[in-house]
Amino acid sequence: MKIKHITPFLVLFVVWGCQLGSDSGCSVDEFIGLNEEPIIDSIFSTRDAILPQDTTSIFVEAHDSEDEELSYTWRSDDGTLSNSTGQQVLWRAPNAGGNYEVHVDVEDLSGAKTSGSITITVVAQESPVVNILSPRDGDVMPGLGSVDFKVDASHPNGIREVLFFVNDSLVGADNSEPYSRTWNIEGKSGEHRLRVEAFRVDGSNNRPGRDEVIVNLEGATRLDRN
Amino acid sequence: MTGYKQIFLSGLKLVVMLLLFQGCADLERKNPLDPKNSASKQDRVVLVEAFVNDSTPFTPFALTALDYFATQVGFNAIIVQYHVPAQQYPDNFALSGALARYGFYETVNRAVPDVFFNGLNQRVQGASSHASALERFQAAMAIEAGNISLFTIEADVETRANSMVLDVRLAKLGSEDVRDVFVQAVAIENTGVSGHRFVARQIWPARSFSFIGNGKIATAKLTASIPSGANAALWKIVVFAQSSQNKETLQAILVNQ
Repeated sequence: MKIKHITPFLVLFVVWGCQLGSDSGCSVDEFIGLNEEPIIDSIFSTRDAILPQDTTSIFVEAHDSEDEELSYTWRSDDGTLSNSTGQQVLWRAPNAGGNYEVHVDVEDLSGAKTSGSITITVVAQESPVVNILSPRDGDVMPGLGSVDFKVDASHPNGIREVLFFVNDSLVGADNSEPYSRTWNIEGKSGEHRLRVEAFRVDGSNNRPGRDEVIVNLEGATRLDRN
Repeated sequence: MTGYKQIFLSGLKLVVMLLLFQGCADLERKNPLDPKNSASKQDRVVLVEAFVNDSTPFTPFALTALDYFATQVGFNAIIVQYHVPAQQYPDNFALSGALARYGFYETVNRAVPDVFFNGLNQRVQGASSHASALERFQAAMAIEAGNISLFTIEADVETRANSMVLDVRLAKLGSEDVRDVFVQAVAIENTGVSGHRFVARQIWPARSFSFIGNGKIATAKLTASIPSGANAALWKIVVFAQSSQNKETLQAILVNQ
């Protein structure tokens, strides 16, 4: 009998040989090139939210099933990194607020690579920008029914809520776009001051953005009973 | 000889007059008030119709403002106050026809005071103070004042024992025909009470015209009763033409009795 394909037999022989001499450090995966990717256990920052131009240290913890030495390569969408290698980097936030991702690639000696990222919130210090879309400043309307109190509010970190005031009395709140509130004006008359305050998502040192309009309600009496 | 001379002169006068009449037919029609003149037009008098009720809290602001407003606009506007009856708001000047007239303009948000300038062209509803009401009236008037009208209204009033009859002539000026207009009349009275100088006392039924040709004159005889106890001698009659399509008042006059 003539053996035409010797390779399968050779592989079986080596596997058998390796198992006999397991202390020799020889592994099947290694032999046939099945190197596994490193595993990232965690990526963490000393601070999750920082101010513009502030810095935070970011760490990565990873391991390799083959216990190979690992190397780390860092990059960020924006802001600056103190260095691009190593298990720990220092990231300096950009000027603008928002959510930024810092990425890290972890690679073993065999070239197997895995990636991970962390999101750092940069809290913009400015107050939210807020505008009352309706009613308009100086609007004159009969005191009948209701009007839609509509507001446009924005902040790089998002808006937590918008509060609505009429003549300094809180009349409602809204925490989702479009920010609005129905204002009942039936039977009302005279000058009314409408104010809105918009708060950004992060609560610390949270100065609201404000806008204000004055409208004139002209009293009118319905002749038909509702 | 004298007799022949007189006959000759009379004949000559007749010939001259005939020639003059013939010549008149060829004259250009330049008179702006002539309905046959295609360029004819008139200034439009602004009809201000205020729907009010004395028992409602905001009406006094509008009434006081109207008194002052009247002194400012003079003959450029005619003011009519319709005191609208309402079960919960008694009003000594309430006129049953006022409700229908208000309903012509508004059926949902019937709330007083509510003032219309040339029909639905301008509307001022509500009042929060004398000053704000006057300011809004002035703003509405500023938009409507100075507009031209393509209608001329004339009317004769005949007062009978228990009724008043109006002979109305509505001439269509300009170069185009018009459809769906009506003429109507309202008697107003100055009661001598502040804020009640243009109180509507009677409303004549409207007369509609589906078509008035350019340069034509439509006529209507409007009759309304004189309610018992009313002193029609104190009335002034307002006659107006209005589009039943867009509810714009097209012309208004104040008729002398």
